[in-house]
Amino acid sequence: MSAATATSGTVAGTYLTFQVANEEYGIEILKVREIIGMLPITPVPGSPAVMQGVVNLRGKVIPVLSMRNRFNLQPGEPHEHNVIIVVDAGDGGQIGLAVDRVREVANFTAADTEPPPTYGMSIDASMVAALGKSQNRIRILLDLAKVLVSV
Amino acid sequence: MSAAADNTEFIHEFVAESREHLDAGEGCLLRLSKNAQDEDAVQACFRSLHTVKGGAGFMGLERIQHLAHAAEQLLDAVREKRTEANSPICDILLVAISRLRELIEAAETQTAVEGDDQSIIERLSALLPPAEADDYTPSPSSADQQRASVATSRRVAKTEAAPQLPSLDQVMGDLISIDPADGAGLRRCLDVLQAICTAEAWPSAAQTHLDSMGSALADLAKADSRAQAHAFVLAIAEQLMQCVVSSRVRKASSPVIAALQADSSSPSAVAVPDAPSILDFLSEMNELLGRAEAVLLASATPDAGQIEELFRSFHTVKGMASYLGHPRIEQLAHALESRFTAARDGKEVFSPSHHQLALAGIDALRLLGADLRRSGNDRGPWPRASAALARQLGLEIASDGPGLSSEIELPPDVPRIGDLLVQTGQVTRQQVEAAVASLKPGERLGEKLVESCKIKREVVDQAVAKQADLAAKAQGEGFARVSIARLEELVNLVGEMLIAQAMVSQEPEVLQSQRLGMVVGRQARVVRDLQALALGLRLVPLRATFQKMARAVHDTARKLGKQVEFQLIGEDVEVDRTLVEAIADPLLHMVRNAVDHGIENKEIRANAGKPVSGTVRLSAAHSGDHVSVTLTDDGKGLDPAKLTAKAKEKGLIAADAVLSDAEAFNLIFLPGFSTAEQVTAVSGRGVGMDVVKRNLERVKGKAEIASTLGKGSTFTITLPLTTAILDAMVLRVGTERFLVPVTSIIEALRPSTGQVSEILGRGRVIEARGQLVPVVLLGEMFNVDGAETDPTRSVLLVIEREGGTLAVQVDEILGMQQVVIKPLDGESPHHPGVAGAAIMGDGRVGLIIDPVHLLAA
Repeated sequence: MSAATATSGTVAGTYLTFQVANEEYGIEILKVREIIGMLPITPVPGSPAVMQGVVNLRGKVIPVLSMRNRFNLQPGEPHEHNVIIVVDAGDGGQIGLAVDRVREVANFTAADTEPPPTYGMSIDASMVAALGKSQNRIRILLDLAKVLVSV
Repeated sequence: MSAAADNTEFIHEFVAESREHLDAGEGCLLRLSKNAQDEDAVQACFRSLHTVKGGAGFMGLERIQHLAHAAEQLLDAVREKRTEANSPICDILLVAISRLRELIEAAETQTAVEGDDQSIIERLSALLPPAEADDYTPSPSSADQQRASVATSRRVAKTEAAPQLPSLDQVMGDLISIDPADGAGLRRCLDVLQAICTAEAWPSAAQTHLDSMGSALADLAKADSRAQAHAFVLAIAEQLMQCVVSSRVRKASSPVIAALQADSSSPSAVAVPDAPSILDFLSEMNELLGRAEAVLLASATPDAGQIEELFRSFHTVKGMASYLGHPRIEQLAHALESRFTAARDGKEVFSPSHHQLALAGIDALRLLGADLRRSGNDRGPWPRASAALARQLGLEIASDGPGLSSEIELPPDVPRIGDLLVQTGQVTRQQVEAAVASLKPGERLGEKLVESCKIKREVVDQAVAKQADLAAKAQGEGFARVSIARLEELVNLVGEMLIAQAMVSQEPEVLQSQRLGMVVGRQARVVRDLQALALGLRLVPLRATFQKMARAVHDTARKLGKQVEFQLIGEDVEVDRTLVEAIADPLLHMVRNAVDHGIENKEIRANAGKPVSGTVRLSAAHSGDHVSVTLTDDGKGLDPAKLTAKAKEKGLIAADAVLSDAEAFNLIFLPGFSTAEQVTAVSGRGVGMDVVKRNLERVKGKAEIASTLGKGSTFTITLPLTTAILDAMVLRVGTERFLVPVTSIIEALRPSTGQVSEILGRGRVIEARGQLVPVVLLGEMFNVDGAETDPTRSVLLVIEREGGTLAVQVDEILGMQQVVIKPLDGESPHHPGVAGAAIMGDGRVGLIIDPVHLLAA
């Protein structure tokens, strides 16, 4: 795990934010490899439900994680804004995150962030590194390693 | 040099190189064990071990160095005919090589190795001829007596004949390998050196080195400064070595002394370099020089690390040249190295003049290299440009060579212009020779011939052009080391290009336009050629694997007291490198089995009227897109009746089963089957052939057996050329497509009504080929939407796998396709029946089904 997300006090940094259902989330931009348009996804028999399947990323077969499924949300209607965010999975591999749409790249200073609340969250709190509040919005900043855990 | 010790890049290079050397050495030993007079084998093996020793010394891997040294010494004794290459010697040397291999592997992975090498070293030295051992009799240990003994050995050496002394290399090797605490041992080495010095009349500088070594040895007695003193002794030893070697080289360059030396069988280890070793040397030297040049060009004021690298380049060139006997290159590299010593040690600032000198030095070494490539040796007059620099560095050089010859750089096998002209038929050989004889310096043969023989100028021009063409071709031959990762990447990308190309050719616009179709068709051909080429890069010859088998045959036969001749055919056949690894173990099993179970004892063979020595032949050949590896022995063969009886006894087949010969032979592939009456140390535990079969299946290979009782057996392994590409059947199930390897499908059938029957409402079976085969619905198993369930509207693929046949029901067969296999991300769990993925023609991912594991879930 990088130092930035190891403790909740030091989550400041640059994040890529994206939308899943009605919420906006952020992941550390340094972990992001690229953003690709939605590709035909081939389901893999016997894999966990959060795994939507595999796609062909320029000749490399990479797994794709459905973020809606990861957050226990109902599948949404396909939309032209749907994209796959390709992130570094840590061990040299890459994983795609299927999200509804990408929002922006935003900077969060330490003052902009707050530790995650312990209750009242729509998603599993262990995945959340902090809440980012700027531009009068709340963004849920994710701990990528926790998002990818058990996948 | 110690700076390099922790450099992992060097370690990897050393390990890779040493492996090759050990493989080569092992091959030579096996040759030697067949023919004790094979001097080439001794020479080559010696060289291999010497290189390993040198490399290990450079890397600071002492255990490897010591062991290699001990083995080298024994070989040296064989080489100089002081002892016979009998089988105990060959055996212990093979053991030593195996041990070295372990140590080297451990060095790469940086793990510790169990066991000690000392017993092997002792066994090696035990086989040394006694004369050698006499030189190492311990001398008295007190300092006074030591000095006395030096004096005696000096006197003794004068009276004794020189050939009894060990070679300089050996003593140096001892000196390095002796424990610093062993003062007496070091002292003995010094004594021997002193003796050789006197006997061979070394230059006075050598005597100075020896004297300072003597005083350093006195310091060694003090325990507190031991390490320092030891390092100092070694440093002097190296200087001494250089001094002596360069004096030998100087002697050798003077023809009279050279002739004298040839008589006195000089103990120098300088081997006669052959052409491949010259090419190897040159490519390595050019690589080193290129690196040094890059350092220089990157910065006018290199930092300490860069100067170190520069220094090391020259040092390595010197070392290689010295070892291979390229005196001019060695001298020049040595001079350059010495020139930069002060700068490296920080005692001198690296000035622009250093910079210039280093660049000039690199050029001069390259020029000598080009000369070496052309003439095949590194003797004779210096090329003019190199000579100037060498003088600047203080080397004594008699006279410049003809500058002209070195300006026109021609590789050795390019025909001379005269020969080319004779070929045209425009001039006769006599005319050319006459013209050459009357050629004055600076004149060109072509010009002369135009004048004297009145041939047309165009003919000469054409010949010159042809020669330049040939020269360019010859120059281009060479090798480049490329990392495997990059190679794989290339193969991958080419595969992608192929698919992208297929997509383009399917575009409606392309299909409609004839013009576009032609262009795309041409592109397709180029891409296919490119793919063939890229896949070819993954291929490696089977030689190394086969060599290992030779070793296995040798060891097994020895252990069992059998006499076996091993023949190898087709070692140059190339297969995919992943296959080479995959078949090594199965092949090893089979080769051992052939010697153990196949070949009979000497007595039985003699009684059967066969030659006492059995023959095992391993051959490889290409057939279409497959490679077949055949293992033949002339042993007792397989007995179908016995095999069947055994299988019935073990309950592996029904008691009343009637098997054909071929079916009976295949019984040995069943798990838990062993025919050996007695379990031996080598084989016979019934684990083996079933593992062989499974390993081969993993790489889509097959094994077949043919055998005649009493005459011998033949095992044939059939392998695909490459594992990267798969011939697959494309299937549709509902909305999804799947791929199944074509090799695993026996037949595809469309069942008629009633052919498929349901058993108790739980499973379906179909009668195919006279037996009941269970039916698996792929769509049901993989939960695919919209899969067809009615068997009469589906296709059944009959698939053979371990433990019986299976019919897989799919919606339809879409066609055949060659696909590049991609691994699925190993982290995520998935159905065991899914073996991997492949990119389909439309860019989507298709899953490859592994029928063998389809029911495992």
